Amino acid sequence: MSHARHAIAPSGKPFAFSPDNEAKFAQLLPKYPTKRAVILPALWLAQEQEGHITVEAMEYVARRLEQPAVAVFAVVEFYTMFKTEPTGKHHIQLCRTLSCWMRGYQDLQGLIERKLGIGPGEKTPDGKFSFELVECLGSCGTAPMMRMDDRYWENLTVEKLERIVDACNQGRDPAGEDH
Amino acid sequence: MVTITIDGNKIQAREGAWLIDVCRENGIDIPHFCYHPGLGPDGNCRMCQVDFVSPRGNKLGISCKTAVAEGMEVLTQSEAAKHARASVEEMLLLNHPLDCPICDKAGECSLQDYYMEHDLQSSRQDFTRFRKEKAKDIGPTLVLDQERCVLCDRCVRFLRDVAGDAQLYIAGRGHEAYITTFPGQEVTSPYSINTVDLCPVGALTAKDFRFGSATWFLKNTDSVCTTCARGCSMQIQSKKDQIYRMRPRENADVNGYWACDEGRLNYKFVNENRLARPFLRRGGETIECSVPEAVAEMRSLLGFKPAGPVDAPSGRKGVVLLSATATLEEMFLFQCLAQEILSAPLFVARHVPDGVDDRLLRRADKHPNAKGAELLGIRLLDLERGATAAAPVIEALGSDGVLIAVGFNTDVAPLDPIMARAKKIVALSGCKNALTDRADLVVPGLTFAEKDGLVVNFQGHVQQLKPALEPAGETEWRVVDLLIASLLGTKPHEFVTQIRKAIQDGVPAFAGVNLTKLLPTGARADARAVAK
Amino acid sequence: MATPKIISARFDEKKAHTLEGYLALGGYATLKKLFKMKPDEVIDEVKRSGLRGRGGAGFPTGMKWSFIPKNTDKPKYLCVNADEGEPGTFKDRLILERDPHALIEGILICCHAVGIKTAYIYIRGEYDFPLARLGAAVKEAYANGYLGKNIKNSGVDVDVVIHRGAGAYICGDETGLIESLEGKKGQPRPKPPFPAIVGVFDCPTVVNNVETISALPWIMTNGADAYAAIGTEKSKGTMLFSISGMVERPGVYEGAFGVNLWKFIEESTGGVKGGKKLKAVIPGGSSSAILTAEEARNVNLDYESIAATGAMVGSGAIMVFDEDTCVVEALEVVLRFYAHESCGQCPPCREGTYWLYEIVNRIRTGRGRPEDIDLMLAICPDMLGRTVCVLADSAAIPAASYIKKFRSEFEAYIDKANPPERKLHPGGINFEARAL
Repeated sequence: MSHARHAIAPSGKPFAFSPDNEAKFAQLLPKYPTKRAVILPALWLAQEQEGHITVEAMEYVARRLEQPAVAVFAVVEFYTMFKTEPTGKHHIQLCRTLSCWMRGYQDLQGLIERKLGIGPGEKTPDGKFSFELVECLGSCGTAPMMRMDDRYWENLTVEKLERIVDACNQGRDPAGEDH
Repeated sequence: MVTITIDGNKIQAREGAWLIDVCRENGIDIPHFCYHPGLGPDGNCRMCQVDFVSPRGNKLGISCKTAVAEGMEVLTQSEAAKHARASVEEMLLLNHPLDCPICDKAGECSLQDYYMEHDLQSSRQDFTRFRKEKAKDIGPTLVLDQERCVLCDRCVRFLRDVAGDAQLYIAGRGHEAYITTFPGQEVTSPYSINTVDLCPVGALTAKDFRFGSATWFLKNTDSVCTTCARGCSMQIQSKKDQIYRMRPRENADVNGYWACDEGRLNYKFVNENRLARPFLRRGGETIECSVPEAVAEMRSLLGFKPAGPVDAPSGRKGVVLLSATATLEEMFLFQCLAQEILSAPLFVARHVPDGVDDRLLRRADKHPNAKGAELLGIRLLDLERGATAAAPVIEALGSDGVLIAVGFNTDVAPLDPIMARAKKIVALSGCKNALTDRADLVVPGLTFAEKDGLVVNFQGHVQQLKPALEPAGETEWRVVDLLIASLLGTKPHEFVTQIRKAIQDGVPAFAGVNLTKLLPTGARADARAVAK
Repeated sequence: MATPKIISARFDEKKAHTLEGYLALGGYATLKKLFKMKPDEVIDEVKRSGLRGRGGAGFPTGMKWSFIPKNTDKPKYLCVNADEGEPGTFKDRLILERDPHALIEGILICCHAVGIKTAYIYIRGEYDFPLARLGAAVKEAYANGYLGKNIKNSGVDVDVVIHRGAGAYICGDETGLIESLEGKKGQPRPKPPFPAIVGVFDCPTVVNNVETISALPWIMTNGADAYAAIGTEKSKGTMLFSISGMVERPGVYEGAFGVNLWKFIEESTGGVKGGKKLKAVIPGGSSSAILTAEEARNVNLDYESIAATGAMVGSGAIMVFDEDTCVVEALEVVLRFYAHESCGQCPPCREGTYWLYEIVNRIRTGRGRPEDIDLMLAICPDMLGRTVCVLADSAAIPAASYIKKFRSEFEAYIDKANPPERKLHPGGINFEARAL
């Protein structure tokens, strides 16, 4: 298995918390006895603000919390949910661990690959979808399932997933297809 | 104290001490990667596993992060312990590139050593190795090979916890984990090369030494860094009269395990602009001469007859100015010359560039022996603390003074105002510079790498410089000793230890120190007993 | 005796997740009594109940609390482990979504017993909906005086902070969680010192699972004896079992310890999906050893009985393999998971999980060699008990047990003359996927 880690380079875009996030950040600080403990929550704010975490955002968080930038970077690289590149508008995280495997996540992957033309780690050219295979999301009783748009989609079948994807493609709320 | 049993032997140990330390103190080296005495245990590498004996059955555990306790019984060489360590070694080699033939660490690599120690099993590795980045330039001093890395975290912990400047971290996780800087940033710590010493494998190499020499061809000389007033214990590594590398030696009293990059790399001048033979200038002409001829010329310049004993003081007005890089023996002998024969003023000069003492090792005073001068009772001049600093020298020189300048090898600009006022100049310098370009008599001196001499660090700790290279000329102490002997009509000294004995006997600060037989880590002088 | 509902009593109540709904169902009723009790009395009560940690290790909860130093100037902390990540486990999620106030009430009980003023709930980052429900419940509890200063005039102060993880199974390990909470990579710490002495922010810390904490209100209301009366001698009370895989009705089922394992699965879920034959059962999450159908039919569901088979109750994650489930590919999925989730500290785990995965992947894809099976069996013991935490064990234990119990299936893949018929799409193995 070869390995190609994508290079993480500055985006060239300066980062600062929005006024909303600045207020949230101010509320976070007194909740912890150390500034370092605020790294994860602060990174969440940064990611929510820009959709992913830029090099500038890491430097910003490090500066605000008086931490070495490289320590913040190591944290970003450790946790799978922190993204250093923009994901698609709809980021599909399809679970592939035991119960979802038994219940046939493979067919769902097949549908995504056929219908959207993207494999794991890829993004559609229009930026609408990106796709990632993930490990157990803690929803084994409703396998197979996926996470997309900050929510779970459970008891999936190929047909149901197709309806969800279609809704996204047609600009409708896919929640209407979750039945 | 507690009593523990290691491999059947009862051993007394400090309660709470790490087992791995207790083993080492008792002659048992437990293989390890993440543990380092200067960093403490981390517990991640699992290489130091030993077998803990218990009535419920033996249990493997790490020796680095286990504190000894009364009654503890340990087997370091049981089959289980040896197998556990061998299996960790095997795991570490799974994705290791095995590029030892082109690796700078070959010969001083723990992976290699422990492989030899653990049975030389043939590899069961049977898949395509996981690739990471190789030969990655991560700053002015370092090159990183992520594939060779065993992720022991030593470099990370050193920069973060010791140097106080976290610039490397392990990012990612599992077998994908890798050492990295922050994207787009470099390792710029003034202590960066310590990470190369700490790296137990070939992951971090120093640009300065990369592909320089196979380590086993290098000759090691225990010496002292002369780059600042800390005087870190150093090992000079050389081959064929070339220095290839300098590395810190462990010295709890001075530098612990570390040295700064500036000190390590401050050896290039040893092979640059060196002066080979004494020479004198007469009417714009330079005339090479021998050392005895140079001594005779010195006598003449100082206004003495060329040979035979003299009645001191009777010479022309001389001023002796030593660099604070001069050794204790040189300072002592010039002190004799100046005070007892010439009745001339004597100064030790240092120029303190802008800078501060940092929290680890580096001192603003960039000279190894200012404290030595102080303990000998010689007046110190800080030449860069304002133009007036040179005034005492200039005043002493008067209109027809002879300046004897000793030990100024590089960076002589601060001497400009003094040189301008000296009628005649005698220079004992290792390297060609503005001072030797102007001097009327030049006697080549030696650099730290060729000298046998003592230096006293800012804490009053005396250590010995030892020659790593063949000397290019006569050593300074001998030149001045010859001059003194010729002026007094006595026999010159044969050995530098005779001078050391004289210092020990005559200078209160060194009364309690055996200067003739210093330990490799040196000894502490009595810094309060400053000579009058 | 009918299956008692202790944890799941309010799961089907539509409004139990709100304060109003919870109060209407008798919630927070135990606080009056609680704040009159001395902290040590509460610890004793929990000790007597026999409650054991439901996160996986099954350590007695009262005893864990009693390790916290009594005379210390340092603050003490409670970390509630809501980083539910063991494959097969999805029960804490239900508590967080449907009964979050029971967790908050449990937190108050623990904090009062141990003298804690701040509790952190570490919830896995992917749990969006549970996070929303829990967040709303905490907000409501603050607004109505169940959290904060001087709770219900008791003089007791408790703050709850919800801390969101960001995707790392290893943060479910108690010291991995502590490291992550401190803003670091979630890499478990060597022990000792144990969290009870040096935990989060270097202070004495209790780390308890969501379900464990949520059992406390019932115990305090009904008494330790009532709880201890349920279950077996050493496995007391009830537990939430997450049952998934090839069964008719996967889901979370609360059960008392001591019943027959397969009977419990069958009665709860309706048995194997589509009337197929049972092949195997994983009784306690993907890190447990596997049980053959026969073993599953003959073992009781309690800590000791399951442990006697070499498997474990763990987090109560039961996964059922039907006759068509390929054990070789299942092991590949399990090992891929652990290789992906290894934090990377210890070589036996970092390299061992990857090595095992590489070998099983090669076997499953028809590139296996006859010696590979024994090679895997030789590697497994070198990963057991050699590392800081038990993630390496979690890979080696299933690997060894799947191979030992279903060796012929592995051999069939290696036998080039008779490769097994492939029933499932070969799920592409793609470590790079994470990089997106």
